Amino acid sequence: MNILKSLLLIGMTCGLLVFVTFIKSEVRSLTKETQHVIKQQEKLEENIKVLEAEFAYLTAPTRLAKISDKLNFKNIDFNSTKPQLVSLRYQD
Amino acid sequence: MRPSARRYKNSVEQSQQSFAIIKTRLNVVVIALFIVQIFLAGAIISKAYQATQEPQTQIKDYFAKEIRRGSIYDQKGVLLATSLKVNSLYADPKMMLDVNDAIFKLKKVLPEIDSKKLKSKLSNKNRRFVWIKRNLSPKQAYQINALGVPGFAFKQEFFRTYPNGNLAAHILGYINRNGNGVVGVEKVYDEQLKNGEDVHLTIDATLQDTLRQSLAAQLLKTNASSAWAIALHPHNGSVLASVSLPDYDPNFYNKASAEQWKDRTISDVFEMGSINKTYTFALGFDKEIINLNSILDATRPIRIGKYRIRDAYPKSKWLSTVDAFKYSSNIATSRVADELTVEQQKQFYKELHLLEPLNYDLGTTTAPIIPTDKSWKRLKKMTLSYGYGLATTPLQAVAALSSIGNDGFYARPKFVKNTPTDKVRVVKDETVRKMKRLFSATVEEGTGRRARVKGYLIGGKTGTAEILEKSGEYNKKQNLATFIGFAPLDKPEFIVLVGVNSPQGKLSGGGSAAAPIFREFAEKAFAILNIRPSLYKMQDKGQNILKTNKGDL
Repeated sequence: MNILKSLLLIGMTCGLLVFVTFIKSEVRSLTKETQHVIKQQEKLEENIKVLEAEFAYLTAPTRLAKISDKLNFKNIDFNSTKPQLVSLRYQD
Repeated sequence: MRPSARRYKNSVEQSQQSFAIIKTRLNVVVIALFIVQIFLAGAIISKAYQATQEPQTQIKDYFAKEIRRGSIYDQKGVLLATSLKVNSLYADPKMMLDVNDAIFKLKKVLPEIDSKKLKSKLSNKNRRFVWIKRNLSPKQAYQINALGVPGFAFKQEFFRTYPNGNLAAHILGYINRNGNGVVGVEKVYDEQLKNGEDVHLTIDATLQDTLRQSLAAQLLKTNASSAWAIALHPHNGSVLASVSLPDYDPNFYNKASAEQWKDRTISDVFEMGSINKTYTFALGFDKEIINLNSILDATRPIRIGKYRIRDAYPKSKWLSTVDAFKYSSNIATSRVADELTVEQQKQFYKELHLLEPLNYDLGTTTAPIIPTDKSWKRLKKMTLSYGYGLATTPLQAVAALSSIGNDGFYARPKFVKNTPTDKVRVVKDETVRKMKRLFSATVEEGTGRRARVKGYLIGGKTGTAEILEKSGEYNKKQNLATFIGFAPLDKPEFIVLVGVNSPQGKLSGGGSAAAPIFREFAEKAFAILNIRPSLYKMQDKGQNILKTNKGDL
């Protein structure tokens, strides 16, 4: 009986050791994976920011105005738009 | 029992005892190990559970070294300021094999490097860190990396960039080398930006650029010393555009002069001249001292003690209210002011936030110059009525004037989208309608004719004020030319105040120097904001059509 008890105890301890080691290695690998994912996310965010800045530069109003002058774009002619009727009354 | 048998029995008993002792000790060790493992397992599980409860940013922060400074956008999401990761080059002198060779190679990529200075720094083998060049372009970083020089290394940093250059420079401000906001939005919202939060402004980048271009062209044309303009959204006080020239590029803030850094819309005070007649007539209507049919004596100058109040272009006759305003008669305006009390005038200016620094979401304007209580008597009341004696910042002036030409509500100006709207009624609806008549007459027939935009109903008021020198005397040769415009007048979508400081030559008045800026801006702003032209007709009480703009179309 005593031998069985001892064997059971040893078995449980070993089992627990293995389980804890397994958890530890899982955590390590998940941490590495998280690090990797976060780095990827940062890279993508950085790319987005760079593209945003490039887009802002390319569509800067001053730059667009220069391009429209170069391409001979003209201002909108109000005669081609439909006017709206407005009535004004001034009280005396 | 034989002695040998007894000895054998004793030895067996002894072995059994030893075995029992060993077994007991083993049990103790195993149990102790077991307990320790239970605790360890519990600690790991508990930590893992805590990690799942933490917000994601904390997990990210654990790995991230630095938080990116938040970006600044205009009202439509156009990027105005952002932080990008760049490489900065440093050297570890201890790791360097040949300093001369390293500098020689580096000069090919960075020719501006001071070789002597760098050599003395890199020769000191006790140093482990020497900055060489910060904020390299991607191309430079690539080329330096390709050199393969031992001892050179890169550190990634955030670099603040303003893709639109000078646009909205004074509003945005800039940050210093330590990443701290120095002025403008960068300073006021420094903490939020440092925490990675973005800021959205009320300004429209396209309108801002349009206003800037119009102002810059006129500044050049009139050879003026400076100019400013503010466009407000009338309903909630949102600033659509605010320009002060000369300005600077925040990407190179350290190369700008003090004159360029100055934002005249909030830091300088000006006597606005005849634009201030707006307040006098509005108060006169509100207190029912005058109406649109009143006639005012402008036959001769007004003499008070040794002072004379006269008109720049005297009509020398009785003028209707409309004519008095559209021809900008100082005499007629003084007559209106004479019917008001000093307390009424003071109270009105107070409600319009003209007598003290204006608090708004980006700070506080410079204090206005106002008359002392002792001097604010009849004469001062009359000179104030046509624009002399009260000097305010342009931001204060545009907010005050906006209330009179829009809906009668004073809306505190704001630059940031999330700022709550703060509106208070200052004049009656009826007063606003009458003032619109005056504004319309000024542009249609009076001094503001150069502000007319074909197909649209525009209202406004011109101003030409002699500049008060530091000596206390007025400079008769230097003017401040101003114009306030409302467009479209029936339901304003934007209100613009323009000021040109010391324009030279013949085009130096409000009508000739400032009004054209408004027209040029308005023509483009109507298209940008998709505001269609109006067919309008003015009717009198008896519904008779007095005027129509059909001929313009």
